[in-house]
Amino acid sequence: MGSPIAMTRPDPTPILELRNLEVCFDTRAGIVRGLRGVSFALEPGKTLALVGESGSGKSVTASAVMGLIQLPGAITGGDILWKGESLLGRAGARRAARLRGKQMSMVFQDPMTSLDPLMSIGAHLVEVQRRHLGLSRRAAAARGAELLDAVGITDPARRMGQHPHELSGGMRQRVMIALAIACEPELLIADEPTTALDVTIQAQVLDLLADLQRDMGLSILLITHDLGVVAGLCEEVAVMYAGEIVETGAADDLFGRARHPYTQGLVRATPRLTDRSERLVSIDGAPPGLLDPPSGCAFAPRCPQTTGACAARPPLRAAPGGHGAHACWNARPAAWEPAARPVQKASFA
Amino acid sequence: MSATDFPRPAALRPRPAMLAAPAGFLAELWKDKAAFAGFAFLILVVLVAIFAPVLAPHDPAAQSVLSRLTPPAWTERGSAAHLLGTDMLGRDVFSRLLHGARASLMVGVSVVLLAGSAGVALGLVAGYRGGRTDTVIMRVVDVFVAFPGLLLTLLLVAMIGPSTSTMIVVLAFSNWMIYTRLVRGIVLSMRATPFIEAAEVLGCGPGRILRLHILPNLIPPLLTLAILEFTNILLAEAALSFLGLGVQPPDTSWGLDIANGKNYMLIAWWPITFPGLAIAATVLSVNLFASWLRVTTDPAEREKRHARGRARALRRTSSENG
Amino acid sequence: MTRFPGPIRAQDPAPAPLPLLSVRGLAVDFDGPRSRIWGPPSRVRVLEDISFDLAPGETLGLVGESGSGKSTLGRAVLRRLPLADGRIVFDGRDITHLPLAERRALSRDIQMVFQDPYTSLNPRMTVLELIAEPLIVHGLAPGPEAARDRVAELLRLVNLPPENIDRFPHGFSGGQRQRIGIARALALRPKLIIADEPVSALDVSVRAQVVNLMQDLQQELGISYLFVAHDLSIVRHISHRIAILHRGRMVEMADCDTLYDSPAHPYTSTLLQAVPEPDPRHRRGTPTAPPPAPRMADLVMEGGACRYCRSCPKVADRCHAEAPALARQPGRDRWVACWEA
Repeated sequence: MGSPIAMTRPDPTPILELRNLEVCFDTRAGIVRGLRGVSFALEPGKTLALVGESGSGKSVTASAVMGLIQLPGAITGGDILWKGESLLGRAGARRAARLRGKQMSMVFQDPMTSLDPLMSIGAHLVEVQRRHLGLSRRAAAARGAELLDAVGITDPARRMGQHPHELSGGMRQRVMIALAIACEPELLIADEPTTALDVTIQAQVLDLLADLQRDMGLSILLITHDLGVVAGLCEEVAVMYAGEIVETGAADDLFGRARHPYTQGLVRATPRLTDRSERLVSIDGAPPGLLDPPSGCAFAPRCPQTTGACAARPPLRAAPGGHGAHACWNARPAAWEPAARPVQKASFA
Repeated sequence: MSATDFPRPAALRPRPAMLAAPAGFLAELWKDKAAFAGFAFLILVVLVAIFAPVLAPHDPAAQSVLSRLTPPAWTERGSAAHLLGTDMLGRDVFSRLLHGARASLMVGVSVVLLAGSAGVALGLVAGYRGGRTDTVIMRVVDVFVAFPGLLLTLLLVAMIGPSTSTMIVVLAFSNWMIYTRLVRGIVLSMRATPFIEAAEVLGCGPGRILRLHILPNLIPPLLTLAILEFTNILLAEAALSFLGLGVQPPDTSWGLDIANGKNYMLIAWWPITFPGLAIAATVLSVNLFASWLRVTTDPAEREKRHARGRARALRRTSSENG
Repeated sequence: MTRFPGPIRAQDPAPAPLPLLSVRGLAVDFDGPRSRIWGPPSRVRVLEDISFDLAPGETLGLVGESGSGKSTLGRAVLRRLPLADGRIVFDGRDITHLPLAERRALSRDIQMVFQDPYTSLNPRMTVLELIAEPLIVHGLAPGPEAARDRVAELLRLVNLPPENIDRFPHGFSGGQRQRIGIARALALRPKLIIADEPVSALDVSVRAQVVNLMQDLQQELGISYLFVAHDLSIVRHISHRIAILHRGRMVEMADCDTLYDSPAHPYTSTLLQAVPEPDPRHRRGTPTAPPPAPRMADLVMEGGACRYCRSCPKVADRCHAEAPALARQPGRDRWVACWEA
């Protein structure tokens, strides 16, 4: 896949850079190739969304960066660079251990499973600050209340004494975000942070992330399946399909001017309130299994504009004269139409 | 024909995945050498128990005053006729060992089946019906658990009179509760799973749901529990027989042999050592195999074990090459 | 202003077809916390005064956030929950009080499609066994061959190749599994399907497949749907009318275009604004302050106030004193429960 595609002008060193990262899962059924050469660079203070459907490898990417890949998975190739230094190998692992939880922290989809049900909110906040920042208990408690205030939790002093089960889902996710930013990280990885939340709460949490990003100069790597979430928060988007990145570009460009047929299909399949049509656009078929990934373009079997060239795997190439890159031999502004109503089937007797 | 007793055609019966590929099962077992050894030993014990009359060189009950306490064949005073020597009544220890396997296995299997089926049935009802039924069944379980097991056993045997069948009933009577507790817990958590609700919405009755939707999912944990319980029963059988409350002469069992041999322990080690070793080896084998089985029936654990094995193999080849 | 829960559609100007499902004043209670350790549990009203009609071949979207009671409503209609109050008439027959045996027979007419296609199919059963199960249970399969043929036919109906008939569900993708679930529900030829968030667990590109399939099936078979959803994004495409639930009460019910183009209840507006818009060219301003999420404890009957008054931007004095009932707007096919609408 060659060198990573820089997504904006060659600026300072990217805070996080993935080079041709490969992750394999050694299962009883065979080797599942979870990531098949993923490269991207995230510049300081930017927000990058990794968009993909289940099984596309977006969460595996986040886990790899956070060092959370466990058996049966393993990183089998490529590199992860933090400000230009590798996080893999023996020396890299030591560097990574110092970074994770401090300069680099993560917010998960389900806040309930990442909070200790027996510890109060305050205890969570105090512990993380004492460990990573070496604050005294008193100072950590005072700062903890400030953090809760910063993530929009009312009456922080009272909330400090409450336990996770006493809070609503949205509140818990705010607490998770407070914990994640407690050590003033430079990079926040948010893995589907709003998927478990109600729509009205989702909007609040996204606003909060956007505010934090602006005020703290955070870099955010947002993992999501929802293009609607991307649009509100992110400048850059990388679309993943079957363990690789198929298109990157500026978020605003991607929706109107997507080049890859998969991205185009995804955009068209996302329902929107302004659309009155009765039929929705759908991408037929299902993503390929990664146990034995196709040698050619992984999207070809579902693609409406596939040609003979698709038998070879397309590299991620910069789009001519524009922003972003895509991995498609026949990229063009495509026409996805709503699926036609099928001819009347055999009578349902 | 009513809706529920519609015969389930052969084409509609689910195939247990575990038994579908015996070759694959053995291949996977072979990778864990300890579990494989345990499994092989258990097969050996089962075969010995089945074919004891053919294999045994002597009648296990035949006494011979002349050859009392002959030591094993490889010792100085040993005789080739008695491989593992003879006991204080001149009976062949090897033949008794082979026949003893029959009693021990028979008691173990019968008790596990009896206690297991009663315990599972009660657990299913308690977990699925819930409410008052559940409360009543679980209080009965509590009472049984609170009662000292050995005391209960001794009391019952003393009341009914010692025999092998009494021992089976009594051991089943004091060991069914663990199945009920396990099953009830799993059924309670399974009741909330969507596919049970889906079956209810489709109109399935409780019998069908328990039989076809819940029970098959209980088999892996039950299998592991039953195998581990089997070792407990084996030891309990030995203890009861040792106390004279279990298997009665002229029948034999490992526990009974140990009891008989204990008085001569200091002058003849062999009548007590070999049955003791047989019990210890069987229990160990069962445990080795059961721990492998527990991992095998848990899909996530199974994948991890597979990956660890692969990683080890990779390291080995790389160190050989480098 | 006409109160809604009157005689069934008595005030309608044109004689509407007899509704397939008619719900009046439905209320459901759950056990709440106990006031004393040994005392009886308190009652929490999770659904209150729910009334609506569903015509044959119609889809009613039920939209609400967590705690709104939308899934409870579906299960109440299936008669899987005891009702605290109200009446349910299905196909001209009062099903409010049904003995257990008849409730099982009711499952031939009312079926359900579940949210999670991964956990709602028994992993140890093949596709054939899964789809044949309702036929066997209701004595509709005269023999294994007939069952097999019927299952193959149902698979074709949901656009799955019948060759898959002997496979286990784990070999299928989420969308395919959901179609197996739909085939299962269709096996009994029900008149009503309660779809409990049938696409929220699916990938975006696959959601459309399932929603389009459900529409096709409705066209062909004339099924009615109660389509439960947690947001307003996808229901528009499948529903004829939409009802918004908020904390156990219906706050607005109208046909799709009316509801989306001119929402009458402030909560409906909030929900509409909360749906993230993927296309930057169509992006709206940031949503107004959304309501705090409801909690079980808050649901315990709380005086007479409107349940939305704490987060409502249009709140007036009257809202704190008296809860508005769902009432029909004069001259329109729209019901709203708001003083300020």
